Amino acid sequence: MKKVLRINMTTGTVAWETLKDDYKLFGNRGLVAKVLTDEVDPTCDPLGAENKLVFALGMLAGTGFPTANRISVGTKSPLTKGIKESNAGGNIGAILARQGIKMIIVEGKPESGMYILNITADGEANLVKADEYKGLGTYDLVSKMKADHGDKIAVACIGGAGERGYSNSTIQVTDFATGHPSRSLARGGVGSVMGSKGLKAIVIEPAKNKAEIEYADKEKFMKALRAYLEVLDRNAAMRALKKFGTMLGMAITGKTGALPVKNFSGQRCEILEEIGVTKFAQTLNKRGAKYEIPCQPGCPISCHNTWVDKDGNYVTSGFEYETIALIGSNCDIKDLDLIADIERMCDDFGIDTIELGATIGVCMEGGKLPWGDGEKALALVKEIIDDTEFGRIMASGCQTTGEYLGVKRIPCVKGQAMPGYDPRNSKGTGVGYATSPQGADHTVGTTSGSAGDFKKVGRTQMSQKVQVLYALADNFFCHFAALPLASTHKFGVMHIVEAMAGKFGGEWNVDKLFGIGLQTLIMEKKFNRGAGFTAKDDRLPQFFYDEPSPMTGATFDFTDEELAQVLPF
Amino acid sequence: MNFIFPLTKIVFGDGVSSQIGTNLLALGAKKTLCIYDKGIKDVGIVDPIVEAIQLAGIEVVHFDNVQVSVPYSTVFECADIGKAAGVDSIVAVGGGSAMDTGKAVNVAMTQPGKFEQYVGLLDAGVLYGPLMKPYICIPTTAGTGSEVSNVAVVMDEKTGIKKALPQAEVTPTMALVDPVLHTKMPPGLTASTGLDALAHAIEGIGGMKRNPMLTAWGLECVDRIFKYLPRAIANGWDLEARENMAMAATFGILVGSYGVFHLPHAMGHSIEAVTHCPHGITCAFTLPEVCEWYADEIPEETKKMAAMLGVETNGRPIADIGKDFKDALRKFYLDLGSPKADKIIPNPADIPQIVELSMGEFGYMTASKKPTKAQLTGMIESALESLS
Repeated sequence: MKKVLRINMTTGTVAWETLKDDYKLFGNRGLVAKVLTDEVDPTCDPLGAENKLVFALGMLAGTGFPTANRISVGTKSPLTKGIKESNAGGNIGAILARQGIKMIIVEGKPESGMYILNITADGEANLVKADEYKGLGTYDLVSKMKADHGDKIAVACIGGAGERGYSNSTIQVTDFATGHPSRSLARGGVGSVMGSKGLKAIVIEPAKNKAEIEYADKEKFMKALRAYLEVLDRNAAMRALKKFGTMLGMAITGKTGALPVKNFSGQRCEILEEIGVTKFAQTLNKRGAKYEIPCQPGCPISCHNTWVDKDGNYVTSGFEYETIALIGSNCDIKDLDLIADIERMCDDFGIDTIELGATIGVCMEGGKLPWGDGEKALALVKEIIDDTEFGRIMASGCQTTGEYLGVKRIPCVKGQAMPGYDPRNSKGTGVGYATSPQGADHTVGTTSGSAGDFKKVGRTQMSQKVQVLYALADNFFCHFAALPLASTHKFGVMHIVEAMAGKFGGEWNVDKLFGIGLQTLIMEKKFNRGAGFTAKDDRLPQFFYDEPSPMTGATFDFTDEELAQVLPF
Repeated sequence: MNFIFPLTKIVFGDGVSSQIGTNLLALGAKKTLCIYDKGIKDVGIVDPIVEAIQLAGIEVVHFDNVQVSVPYSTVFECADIGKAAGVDSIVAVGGGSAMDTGKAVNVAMTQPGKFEQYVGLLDAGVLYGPLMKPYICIPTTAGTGSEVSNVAVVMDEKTGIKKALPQAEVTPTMALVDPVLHTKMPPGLTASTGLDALAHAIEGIGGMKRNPMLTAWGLECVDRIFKYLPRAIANGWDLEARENMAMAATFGILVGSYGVFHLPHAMGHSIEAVTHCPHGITCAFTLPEVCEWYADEIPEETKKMAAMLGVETNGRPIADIGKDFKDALRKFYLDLGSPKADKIIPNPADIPQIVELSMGEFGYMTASKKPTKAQLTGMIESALESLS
């Protein structure tokens, strides 16, 4: 699979290229970093013609390796002003792989108008005028696309938030289990970059003829694949993820105080009975909602779910821990149905629920609405959709909203809001927030807030280890499939090494494997330095250093020197 | 395969309850909180135990007001007494309610903040183990297994909802399992608690975290219950039967709680909530139906258990064995003289509510073979019909 599709939005042309040789041992996040460091001026305007938007598949896409068909998108972020990569599951990875397309690079900017990129079953790429779809929500858009192109298509699209250039906007991709655009390339305002390029959607039909996947030694690869499947099957965390989805995390963070409460106050969550994992799983079961379903074809973990209302009608799918942590406990909103409604609105309009939940949290801290007032929170989301003045401020993200309201406690790093882990009670995660080139992000390397994570011992080393591991995982598969590497590291990792050798040939060992993660991080930091970032940006907001968490007494007590040692390049 | 066994020290045998004094001394106790109810005191079980503690030179602080289902108010009342007296250890004498009270009191007495924050299945606050007091249980029934389990059930009387307190830290330090004490149990209580033990063992054998070691224990427990429960009911003074039932209860709960309970307990709790029938009976009520449902999930184990009740298993399809096992299990239940349908679910109109509640139970979430709403309803209806 070597095809690269380059879309020039200035001229309205599409061109096919072949993947360069030095790009071959990268996928997803690594490929994004490669293109951005090679082709994009780090000082460019994120919403200008110079910035590029890169969609990339993983190293093992199309091979059937568990969770290998994730999609990454990368660009210079309008939110962090640095390099950004977001990834998601869904059916798009598998369908692009079937087309034999490794990467789509979108560049330039049209003078006006909206376009849809359509890749047909015969493998032709056409840029089609699509002004009539302007302002359309992602759910309606996907329905219309299915009516035109068939039910089996994959869509990556933006809602109103991306079109208007909002910094909290997402790109939504279609989910494999439900077909709805409920999986999000969520963080860093990537939707607005797609919007700035006048690209409403990428619509891909399944190829008539499946593209050939090349292997150096297919038998070796398949043997390693089966061995790794068994590693996953034997892992207790995988079995628990099947039953409870990502909400399983709340059973840990709720206990230890890593769960953010009332704008990262560090207090104990008092509403777990209403929003915790027990209530969540109970509701799914009682209402007969589907769970234990895969978000991408063939996923053995199947942590995906759907949420239905009291009458059993579909509300949303992919209702995840981070959303419930940020809009629920972080805002003291104790109504899962209302949070699900907000989540659906966000998926449809293309808003990042993490950024939004943190934004509502600072609004509550700033007195804009009372703690726990779900109805008023929902009204604020409507303000974003209805394009009011305050709605536009909120859409600029948590940092901007907090500053506008004069709030002193704004939980952001590099302009991006923190996800569902308080950095004092999950110190390893906090170190990741501070030092990652991606800003505060749960996908850069969390230490999950398990018991003892509020202590400082060993956390910088652990953060370094997981950041490299996750950067590696982000080159070819899902973090959950990578969990055995964090726990039964030495055993499971050899199967990955074998799989890489089977796919790509040549000598492989653990160092070469983890080197992919390391190189990815090195490229990302290089881009950020070019964009003007320095060590001063690798810190948390001051209040985490000054205010002890009332629950554990922990502060974020790392010196700048300690943080500088985490990714020392 | 991943598992944790936070095991209790088990001291088993006729008369071991008299060793309570030396065992408390070994744990460094000087003043102990002794938890029981008046009924147990009236049958004469408590006094010799208190005497044995005092003989060791340990001061006893009494709490004789244990309530069924362990309401919060009892827990707070008892914890206040213990705190005011400055006790350094806890002893509980009795059935599930007394032993669960002890677990909850241990949390309420020692952990910072509100008691309620530690209650809840997956969302409870983490308990700080070193703060907990040494805790010894002396069970007077053979069923609940609370003396070695890692969970207590408490009731929020404001809402009437029963909630779990499930963490390794509440596991008792020591259990003195003295079958002689069980001779005081009347036949009805012997039957309902014994059936609870049967449900624990059978559920654990098919539980989502089952493992071969637990299964071995579980099958042995099931075999002993099939053999000795009828004898213990027929003659309360049959010490051999009492001893085997005591063993099956204590080890049955380990199989059930570490293998993880599922459907019979999910439906049992829900029936209890609606009709207030005893716990052991409600859990045994749909056990035959669930065993049939699980036959292809755990075929080897099903064959072994069915053979214990005389079902022919050689060369027959597993579905047929499952069906015969269901019928044999039902016959076993009826031969014990256990309650009929009218005592368990008097009003069949309650079934939809029971099914609704069951689907919100933890035991439903953890079932390794999950029935739909209709299938669950079918199990309850089938059980009702066979007992009408």
